[in-house]
Amino acid sequence: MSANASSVVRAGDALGYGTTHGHAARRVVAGAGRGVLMSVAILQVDLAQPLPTLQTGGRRGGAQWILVKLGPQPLGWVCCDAKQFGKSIGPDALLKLIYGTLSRRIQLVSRERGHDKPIALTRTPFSIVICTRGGGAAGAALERQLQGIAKLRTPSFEVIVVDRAAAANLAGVCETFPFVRYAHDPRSGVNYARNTGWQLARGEIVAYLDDDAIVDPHWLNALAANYDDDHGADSQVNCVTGLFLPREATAEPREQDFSRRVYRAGTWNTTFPFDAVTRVGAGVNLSVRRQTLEAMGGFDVALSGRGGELDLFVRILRDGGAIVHDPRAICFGAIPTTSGQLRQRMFDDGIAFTSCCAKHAYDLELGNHAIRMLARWFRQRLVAAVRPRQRDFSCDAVVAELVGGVIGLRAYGRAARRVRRDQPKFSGRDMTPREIPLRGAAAANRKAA
Amino acid sequence: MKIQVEQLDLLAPWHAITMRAGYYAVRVTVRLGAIPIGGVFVRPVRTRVVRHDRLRRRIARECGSAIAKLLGLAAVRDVEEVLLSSGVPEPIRGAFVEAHSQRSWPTPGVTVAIYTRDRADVLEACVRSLQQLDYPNFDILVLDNSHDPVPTRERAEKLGVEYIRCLASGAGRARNAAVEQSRSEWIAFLDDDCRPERNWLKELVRAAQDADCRCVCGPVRPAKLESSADIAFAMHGGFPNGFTHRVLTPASLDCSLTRPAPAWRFGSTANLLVHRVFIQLAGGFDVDLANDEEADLFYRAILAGHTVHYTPLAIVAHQRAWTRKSLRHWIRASAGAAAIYHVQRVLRYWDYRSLIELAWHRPLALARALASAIRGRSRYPWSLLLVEFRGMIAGPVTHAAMRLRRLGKSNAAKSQARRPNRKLGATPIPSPDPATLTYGAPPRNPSNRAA
Repeated sequence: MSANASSVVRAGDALGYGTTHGHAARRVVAGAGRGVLMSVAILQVDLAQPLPTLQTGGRRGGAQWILVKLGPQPLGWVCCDAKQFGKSIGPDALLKLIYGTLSRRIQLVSRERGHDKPIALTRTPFSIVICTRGGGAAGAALERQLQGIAKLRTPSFEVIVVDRAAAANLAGVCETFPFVRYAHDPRSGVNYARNTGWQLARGEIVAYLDDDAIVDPHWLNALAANYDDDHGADSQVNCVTGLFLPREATAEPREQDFSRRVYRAGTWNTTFPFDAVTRVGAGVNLSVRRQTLEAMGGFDVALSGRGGELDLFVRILRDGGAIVHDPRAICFGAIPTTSGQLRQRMFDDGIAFTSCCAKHAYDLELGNHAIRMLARWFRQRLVAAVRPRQRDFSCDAVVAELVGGVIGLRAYGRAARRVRRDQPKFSGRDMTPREIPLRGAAAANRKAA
Repeated sequence: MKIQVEQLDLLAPWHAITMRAGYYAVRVTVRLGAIPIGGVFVRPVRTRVVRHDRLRRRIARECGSAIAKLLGLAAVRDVEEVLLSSGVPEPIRGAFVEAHSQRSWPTPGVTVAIYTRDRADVLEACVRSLQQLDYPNFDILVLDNSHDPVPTRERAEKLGVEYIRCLASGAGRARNAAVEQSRSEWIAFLDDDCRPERNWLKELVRAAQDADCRCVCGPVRPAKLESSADIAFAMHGGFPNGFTHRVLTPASLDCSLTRPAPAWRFGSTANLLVHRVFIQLAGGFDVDLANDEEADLFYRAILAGHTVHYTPLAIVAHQRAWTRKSLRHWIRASAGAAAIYHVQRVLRYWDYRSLIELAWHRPLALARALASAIRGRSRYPWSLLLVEFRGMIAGPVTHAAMRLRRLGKSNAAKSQARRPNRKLGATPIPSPDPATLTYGAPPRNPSNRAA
């Protein structure tokens, strides 16, 4: 490995979005506004490319977090303190800093995998499903996202945009990309849209992305490498999740070992698989075999978005499937930047988690796990609410999560009844997932092709 | 989750067991010839192969004392040495086979009554397995409780077995019809989803050689554990599945001051042999008990001075595939029937120990099981414990409501006819032949009986 062969990009800069997205301009210092969290842009450094001079920046001289990668494989985080290095840090100092922090990890990864082994291009047909609710800035965000997907180093894939609002601007954006199909699902709930996505998919693997996620160029190949038998991966893998990283950090990034992990039925301890979201991954960067989704009936529409993906993980593991978490499949997304957003997110997470546990509480195999996990979850949150040292977030966010958890205990039953009640209403209409044909130049080109 | 079910005969050559794809673990029933010794649960996570060495160690650890006793070994630590992959070595094997093959016993006539309900194909497989039995003197009687009798009747005619159509619903009523119909000395009851082993009837009759014996029951082993519901049912212990010979005697009534006689869950009607004249005099099965009618029969047998045997050698394999719904329904009905059984012991026989069992021991056991399930010490689903508790409460209440409704609808003569015989606990079925049998009137209180 050569120290000269390194490079630096912002999160998402590999696609050319880093500067246009304007992380530095959006950086908000603490105290700049009431209820606004301090956010710092995250940089990434690839040791397989020449190392550049980094502008550590920051009028207040704060810390800059750098994600160090070796090719597609993330190695770890390095904190670059502006007080120590000044406004910029040269390649030598950066190399010294990286080796001082991650030397053991670099040696380990070099020995185990070999940085010169590239991820092979996959021939597996993929369908990328993006579920969006439309809205004012959704068109621009979707365009950025699709531009990033267009640069994926994967020969065969399609993108299905499932719009829940039937916004005209989104259809216009979709027309400009030849690989995009557009569908409309008016039903409320992201899991309806997810199910519409896989029902329309033509690919063997369905990959789900959030509407604000930006993918790494290696993302799809890294996901596919876990499904392909000729890569030495397991043939019984039903689901592969990737690494989700924030485009901006509002807190110190958590320690992660960035290693590939395989989860199978029966490997759980007293609480797994109900803590699967924190271990396995999340729906923001998720891929599932279409055959598996068909067999399982897709996502549970009575659960909210995060609850739906947790429920999917739980059912896959319960039914004898395997889930792989591969950190090489990276995507970047937005995280709450204000305390109000954080509270809302924690509240939603509380509802999603406890409603999923409540759904499985009467399961013959996982019922005991669900009850234990619920008891542990509430105990941890109660302790965190009264002890500041036990929590990562502010007290109001933890309390919001607790309140959401209490509401979620009965939310699933109510939602399931509502879904059953609405079923005749939907069945009266033709709710078969249907693609809306695009009429733009791209569609004409597609026809000609 | 699925568990692979395997059988292993230690006398025959045996090697490694390979776990099939999609299975979580392997459950091995260990046998010495026809004698079941015990069960071993192994989980080969990485290799998916249970090697001979590992299996031998596990068998020696968990079934060592039983094997040593049967093979006549001096010490339990010698067991591992005789468990070879080629089978038990010859001198010991020969001695064992010789000791267990020279016995013979009378083979009286037996009517095998198969209860079925809308499952003609399952019934046919059951009859086919019965036709493989090594018992010389038995006939087969199909008790049909189906909504549509035509398929079952045609299948019975095709198979050449006797057929009874029971219009009244309920397995107890159908089995009582079989008691009236049969002319054999013994009646064996079997469910249509049970597959008996070849020596099943012979081993049941062998246990009935005891002169006081009137009922013999055997284990009902799950043939497959292919779903979580199957596994939960096996953990619940719904059907008797022990590996030791047990006997209920009149002394069992007074064996404890606080515990009732363990007739409850001693056996099952899915694998039961009953003396015909005894059950006729006893009035047949109590039709109000949905699942525990055999417990009531056992209780009345030991109350009349007879014995009830459980033999682990008469094995039937239960082929039923449980679902979550059917399992919950079965557990609720079973808990309700057990509660009714205990209430009946209190009201009919003034057995205060059943009251203690119902009001203290059973709720306490359920509470402990619930605590251990929630704490992770047990894998039995907590929701089924709640179902059981609800069934235990609701069973006597619904039974009382049903009795009151029945009393209100029927006239005095009918209610008099339905009143159970206090001597043997239920209304006698006509046409008994009591000349050769004498039954003493049971005392009202077992403690008075001892005096």
